[in-house]
Amino acid sequence: MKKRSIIALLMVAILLIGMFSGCADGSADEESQGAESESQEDLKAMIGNYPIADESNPLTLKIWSTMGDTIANDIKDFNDILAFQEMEERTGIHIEWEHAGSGQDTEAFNLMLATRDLPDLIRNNIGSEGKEAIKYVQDDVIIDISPYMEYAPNFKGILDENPDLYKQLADDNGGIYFFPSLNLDIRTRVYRGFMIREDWCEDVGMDIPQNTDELYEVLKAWQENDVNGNGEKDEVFSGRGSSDFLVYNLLWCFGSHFGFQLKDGAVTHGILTDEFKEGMAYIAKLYAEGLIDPDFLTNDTTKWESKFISEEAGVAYGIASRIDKFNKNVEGAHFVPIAVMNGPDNRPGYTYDNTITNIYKTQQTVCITTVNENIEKSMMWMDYVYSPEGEILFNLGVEGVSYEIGEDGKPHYTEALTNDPQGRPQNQMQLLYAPGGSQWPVNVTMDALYCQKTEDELNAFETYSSNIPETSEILPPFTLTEEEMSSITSKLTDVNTYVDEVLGSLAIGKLSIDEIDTVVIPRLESLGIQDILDVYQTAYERYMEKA
Amino acid sequence: MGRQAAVPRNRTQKKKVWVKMVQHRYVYLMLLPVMLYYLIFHYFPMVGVLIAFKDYSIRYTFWENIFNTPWVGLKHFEAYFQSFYFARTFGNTLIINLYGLIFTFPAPIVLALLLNEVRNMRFKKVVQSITYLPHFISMVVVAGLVIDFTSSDGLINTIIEAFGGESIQFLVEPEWFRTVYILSAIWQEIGWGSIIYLAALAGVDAELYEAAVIDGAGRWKQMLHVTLPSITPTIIILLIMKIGQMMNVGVEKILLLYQPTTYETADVISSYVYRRGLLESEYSFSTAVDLFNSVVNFILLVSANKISKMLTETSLW
Repeated sequence: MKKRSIIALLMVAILLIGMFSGCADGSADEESQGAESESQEDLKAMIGNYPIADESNPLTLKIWSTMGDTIANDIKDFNDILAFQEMEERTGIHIEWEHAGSGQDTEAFNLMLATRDLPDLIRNNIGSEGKEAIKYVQDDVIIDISPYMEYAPNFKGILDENPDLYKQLADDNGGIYFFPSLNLDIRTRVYRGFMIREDWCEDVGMDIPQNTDELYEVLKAWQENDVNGNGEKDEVFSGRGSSDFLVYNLLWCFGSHFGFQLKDGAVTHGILTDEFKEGMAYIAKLYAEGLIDPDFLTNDTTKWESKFISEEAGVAYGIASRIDKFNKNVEGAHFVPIAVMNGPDNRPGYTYDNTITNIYKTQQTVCITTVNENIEKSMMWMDYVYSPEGEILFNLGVEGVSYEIGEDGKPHYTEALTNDPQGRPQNQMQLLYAPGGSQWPVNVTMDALYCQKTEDELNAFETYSSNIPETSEILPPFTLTEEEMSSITSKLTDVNTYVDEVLGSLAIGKLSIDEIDTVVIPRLESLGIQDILDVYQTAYERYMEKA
Repeated sequence: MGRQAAVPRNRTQKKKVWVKMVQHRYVYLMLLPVMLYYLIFHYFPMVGVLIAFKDYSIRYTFWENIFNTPWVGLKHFEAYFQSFYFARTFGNTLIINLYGLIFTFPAPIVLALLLNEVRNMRFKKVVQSITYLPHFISMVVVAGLVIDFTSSDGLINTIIEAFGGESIQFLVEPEWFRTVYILSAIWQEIGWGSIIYLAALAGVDAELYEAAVIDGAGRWKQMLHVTLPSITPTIIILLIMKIGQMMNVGVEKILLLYQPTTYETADVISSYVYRRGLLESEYSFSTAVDLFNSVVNFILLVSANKISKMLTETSLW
């Protein structure tokens, strides 16, 4: 009796499986029946002649895209953004959006791929570390767009004019896999650096620190003089332990990175360098003496910001927009950028921020998927973004609505953006009109930058870009082959996880600096770091040989 | 021979079953949604464990992966057992659960016994309400509370400093992680967990207490010899069920509270599976790791049940 019911259950289960697999097959069949395609000549005639679709010949494209937290509460999908409404009018192509819930990007993206429920285009940070484009080409998710370049004359024109950009973007075989955000002007690339409270430095009669020794003295002086006047020795350097605003950025002043880097023309990992020990000893010393935020490992961005707003922290490494934010929110505070923080004995400081050397950004990339049946038209649609009109549309929006040409002949945002009745900040409002650069790829122009940024931020950009720390040890964006990739993927995960762990342990003194040689490096070797370095070295050499 | 005899008997029995089912059709109809739930959400997805023995590729659909891709044997299991993370995640999973068994499990029993002795009904109700309220707070919020309470200027460190102690970075230092995890679990679940014991206590025959009093037993002896033995079956069943979940850690809480410096004590199998599977999209490998987890869990459950059957004659089946 018991056995029978189990058999019955199994039968039902098998039947159900049959039903489900039947469904899957059915839907696959339907997909393959596309609209009748136009001839090559018809398509070529359309290049540059927008609209490329109309009522008699409608076209809807499906796009999967992440959506930034800043606007997730304001819009349902990207069709609520002015630039995309305008783009639909001008190109005639309707877009159906699919967005991941905030904070669920990676999971939702992986789930979409695993179920192979692919849209026509994908916007995600493909091309960044761990999301190498070639991996998705092999998995039959996205296509190489380089054979279709003639359908994107504006984008191609930019590539032709900027050979450095082409070298970075195309892989060893000339393949191009995505439309990126472009930062051709260096001032649009250098937006991170050290920031410090000038008024606190003045209070203790010291200059803005220019090297790590001076930074230490300043922090000491702040605490001894209790510059925030709350009776406690809590004036600190604040940062985070992951993502952004890292405390470990201090390592850069010593000429060492917390990730893979170049050293004397060879690929290595920061931890394996001697400078790392020196830099980490400095961080550990500061932490032990209470000069670094004791909560830095558990800080999220909000908590990190609150340390500055409650006047506990006075110096950090991060995005220049915070200088403006802190100056506005903390009464009497005056944060200023520090261009270069040198190492001990004024040894020149380095930077390992590859956004400075990478002309394109991987955070906003658009790929065409393998199920797309209108590749040519998708190329034309995306190319509009890089056309002179599209550049304005995505950087500034529509004249008279989101921006106006001022008396100085330069564009300025209108009241709608700068003075929102609901009190939303400008950098949030601007995304609802012209989402280029942060939500969508665009060729970022200086006009846009002058519009978007406050005086404090522009000053910071000026300071940071006029005097850039040594960049020679930053890894260029080389590409790996399929075999190289599959041979190191899981080792890379293990190494990166362990490095995260070690950085924190060293900073808080759970691991001593001597243990780097006795514990950390042997462990890294057992996790296969040498194999990764070998693969990176070959790929790096291949990249350097490229014209 | 026995088989021949069994056939007609089975047939009549079968008939009886059908007749009974038709008679009580509405009751069976009510059972249907539950059956379907288990089939669809618990049995049907088990097909997916097959990918632990394959190289899952997002190139193909799920069914193509199941039917068409080649078998790779125990490759993924070997990779896990040989990796440095095997000892760590397996050990952490066991230790956190062992602590849970020693500290979190008895806590509601103690609370229930204490509440049972309270004679002021008003006070008892208030205590009960306050202790089981945290159960209804979402895990994300609980983790947020824990992070705030344990931060350098949080409630706990303020108290420690007020008594002249040194402030402790509870969520940064690996040796504190388990303590924080277990204590916050007790805080959140003690009241809710005690409800079932209070219900069992309410069912204890009052005559037993009268008899005990006549025999000269005090409060302590009454608890030891009447109350506890009466709720032992409940405790045993819950204990077995708890052991059945021995390898399942509340992974949300771990993910919300851990960070790289505490991986050493906080990284458990489920959080490792989450990172490798959902974030790094190594589906076959993470399925293999999770399958291993389930197998260990299954063995623990069966043995706990066996042991309990031998010792106390109380068991799940």
